[in-house]
Amino acid sequence: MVHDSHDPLHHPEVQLASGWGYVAAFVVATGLMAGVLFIATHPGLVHPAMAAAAGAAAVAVLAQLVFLFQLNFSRTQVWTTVSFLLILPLFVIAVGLTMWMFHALDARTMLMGLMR
Amino acid sequence: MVNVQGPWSPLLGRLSLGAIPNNPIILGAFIFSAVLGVLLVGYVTYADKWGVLWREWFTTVDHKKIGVMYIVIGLVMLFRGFIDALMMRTQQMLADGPHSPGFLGAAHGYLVPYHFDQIYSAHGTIMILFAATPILVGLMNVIVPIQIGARDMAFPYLNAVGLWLTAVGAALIMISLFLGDFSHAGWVGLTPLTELAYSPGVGTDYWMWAIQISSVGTTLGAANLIATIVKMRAPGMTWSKLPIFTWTALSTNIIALTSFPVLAVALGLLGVDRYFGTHFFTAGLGGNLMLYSDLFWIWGHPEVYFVILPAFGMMSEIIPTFAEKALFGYVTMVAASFAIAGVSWSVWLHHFFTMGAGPRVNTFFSIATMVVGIPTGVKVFNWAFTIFRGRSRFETPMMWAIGALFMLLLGGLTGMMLAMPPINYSVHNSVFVVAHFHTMLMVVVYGIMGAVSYWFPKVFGFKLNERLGKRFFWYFTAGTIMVFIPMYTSGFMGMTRRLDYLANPALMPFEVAEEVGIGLYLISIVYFVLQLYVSIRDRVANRVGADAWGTGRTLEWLTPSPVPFYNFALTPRVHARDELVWRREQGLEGAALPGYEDILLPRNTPVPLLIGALALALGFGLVWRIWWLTDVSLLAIVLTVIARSFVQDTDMVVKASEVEKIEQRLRARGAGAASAEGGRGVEILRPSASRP
Amino acid sequence: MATGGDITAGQAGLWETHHHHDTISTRTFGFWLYMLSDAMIFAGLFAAYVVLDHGYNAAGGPMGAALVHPGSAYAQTLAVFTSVLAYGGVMVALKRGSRGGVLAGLLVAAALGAVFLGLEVHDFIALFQAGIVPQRSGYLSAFFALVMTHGIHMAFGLIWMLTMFFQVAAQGFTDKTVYRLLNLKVFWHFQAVIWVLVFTFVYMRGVL
Repeated sequence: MVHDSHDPLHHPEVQLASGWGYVAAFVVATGLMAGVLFIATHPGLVHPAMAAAAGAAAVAVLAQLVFLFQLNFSRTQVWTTVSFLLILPLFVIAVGLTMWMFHALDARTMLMGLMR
Repeated sequence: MVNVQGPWSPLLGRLSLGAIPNNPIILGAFIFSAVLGVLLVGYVTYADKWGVLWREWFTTVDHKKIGVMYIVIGLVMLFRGFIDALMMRTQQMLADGPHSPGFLGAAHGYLVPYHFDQIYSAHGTIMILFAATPILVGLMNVIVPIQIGARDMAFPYLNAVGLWLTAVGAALIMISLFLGDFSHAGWVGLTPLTELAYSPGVGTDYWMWAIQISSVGTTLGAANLIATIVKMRAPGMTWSKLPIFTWTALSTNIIALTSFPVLAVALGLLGVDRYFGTHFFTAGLGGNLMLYSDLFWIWGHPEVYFVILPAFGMMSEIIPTFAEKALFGYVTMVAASFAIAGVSWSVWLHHFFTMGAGPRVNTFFSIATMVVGIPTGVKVFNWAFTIFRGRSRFETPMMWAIGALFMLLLGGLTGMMLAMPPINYSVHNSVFVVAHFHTMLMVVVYGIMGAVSYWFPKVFGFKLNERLGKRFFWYFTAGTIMVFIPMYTSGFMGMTRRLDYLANPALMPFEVAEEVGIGLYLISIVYFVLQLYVSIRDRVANRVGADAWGTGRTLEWLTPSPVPFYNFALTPRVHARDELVWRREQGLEGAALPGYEDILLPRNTPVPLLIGALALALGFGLVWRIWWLTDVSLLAIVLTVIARSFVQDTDMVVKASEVEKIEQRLRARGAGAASAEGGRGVEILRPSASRP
Repeated sequence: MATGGDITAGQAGLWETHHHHDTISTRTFGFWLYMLSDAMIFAGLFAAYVVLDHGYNAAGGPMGAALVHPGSAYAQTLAVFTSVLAYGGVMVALKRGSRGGVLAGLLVAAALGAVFLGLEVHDFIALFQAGIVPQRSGYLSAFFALVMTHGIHMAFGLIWMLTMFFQVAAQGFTDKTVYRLLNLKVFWHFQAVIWVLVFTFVYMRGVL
């Protein structure tokens, strides 16, 4: 670099590192996944089980996004966060609309009775 | 690995001498390509240009040269796709009714069904993925960094890798012409027809790997362009001052970044079906063949907007320049681009309404599809109001832009018809649909042709011949009308698409009319080639200064033409949305630079070309199931990437004195053009003292 | 369209000298975009999985609980999460400028990643020996495609970590090595997010 008077270690993205944040993400995700394991192996205990598991997964992912990826609207991270928020709906649409259309299709192709 | 039919050897896989097709048409194509290739190689050798080609082009990381190479690949493939179209039109004209004659072993017409099927599959694949996409990516590559006042892209090296991966895809398709065959299952790859049980040959594999490898390049290119736009704008260029073409490039690359991976999944799952014998899309054993259509069109529909949004951006640049008036409704134009990009993600089921997902699902997707019409309508009115009370000059780029407007109107209205499930059910799989999406893709072609003639002087420093350009335009437009109006009509009469034989002789007149249209296209191509030849021959007389059209508005017209490899000697500071207009009105556009500085740029490297060559070996090995070749080339790619990551010295410094020399030479050249042209288009290069 | 700047006609306001871009944040943002693109690969695979996750897609073959050992799945979860935590240690060491800390963290994270892969491969071999292979049914194809794609990502991450180990050892902290460490962090942490989804919606949903 020509302008090499700078030290890459002083870059704000390097300075974002937070040991406590990583530990928090670890604790939250490990704990919630243990919860999901418990729900799954003890059927009938929590109702509806899958909704509870999905909720736990959502919270775990949220904790990871906040503590691991440090998504926020600070000057350093704003574009990371914005691009994520733009793409999240596409992820949901791709999976969600697919589920919906095939659910409707299966009902009309007499496969419902064969479903679990 | 699944056992395949026929012979297989560890050394050559499925490849054997029998793979060379025995067909007079392909032989003719081979002779044509071979002669062309020998001529090209001979010329380059004779003119001693190999060194230049290697140093200046093959190893380059300059975004403009990479863009130009993208466009060259796209134009070559556009020609190949056109020849496919010509063959299909001729076959359908000849093979009408039971009494139609047959030639070359065909019962009717001159193409046997299996060959005809390969031609339409190749035509679709090539036109969308290897003609439109590379040309658009190329144009964005060339223009976006200059338009935002950057000296390069965020990832120049990766940019070159993307180019060569696209080239590999195109090369695989060309190889399939002479070695083995191509897919016969349509460009969408209808399942379960593409499964190994029904397509045991290598054709589907060629199609699959060509798309797969080039899409990797497109995805990487998308991340590159977005990062460039977000992080590398010139000082002062806030979001509200971003040129409109750059806005559309941003929205279109968001689409590419998010949708191409889904295509990779669709083709990847088809690949594991074909290579490992899994059951994603098979008929039976729990496969679901509609899942392929779903995944394919999750990509496929956004891809349609991926190709059309840059065309909208090009029109939005060309129309204000030649109407000599600021773009009407800048904010709504940007909002419309993003609305189109967003809605494009929830309309894909309209490609298979007839799957029968039921009224609720079909209604949702039908309404979502119609909603696209709103932002598109906003755009059309914005362009119309830009022209309204402007001082329109009908130079070639403007003609193409206005032509695109008409195409958009026609394609948009028929699109609205197709968005209604009841109509869709009756015209599904008819040539009415084919005519509709060709009209939409014509918007892209018109946009591209306009953009090529508009930005050509920026990149090469001289204008294309106007007179021949206009002939090209009019013949092309006449061809478009003659081909697609009869196609709409015969589609409404119930003509099914992808037919190698028409049972109903009443359709014959339409087919003849379309053949006349394709003849007009052929003439237009002759004029295009002639235009290129004449323009290059007379390049000294056609030289232009920085602002080639005299009424340019955005940053790219601020730097000399042809654009020096460092783009800007000093980074411009941006004050207005149309920076050049602002500077012109302030009387500042001729202001000399206050000085020069050292410029840091990435150094040329042959590594991207090497990765491309290895990817070609990988793709070829996968198609013919030559496992040693795939293993070796994949390992070599990984090792090359790792080895390259250890290279620290990847940049070079251009000294201020050298920059000064180049700038002075280009400015002197531009000043010469100024006197030759009577002053138009070169105000920027005049010394400020001479301003009134 | 000359909405104005307040800059006077002086040339000082027209050009910027020594303007340069923040290489590290440009590169990390580009890689983040690539990661989002990668997320869409998983979106496609999850979509395929939900479509093929029905009794008739199993074609009479095994489904759900027959494939998954909950304890082993949770052990894999712990391996992924601790590896990610170890990579967090790399980031903290980088912030302090400790080359030794970065190198040690990379080795620990890679070792834990290898433990995860070992557990996964062990499970797969057991399944294959029981005749539960991707070629058995559409459901199993989708199951293995999703889980194996995650596994391939993990393996790729291991190669990257070892590369970075030698690169940091040889070259220290330059712009290039620093943004690559930051990118690898995004890549590795992203695998943890995907694992949460795989664990919940494939493994545990299957057990239920």
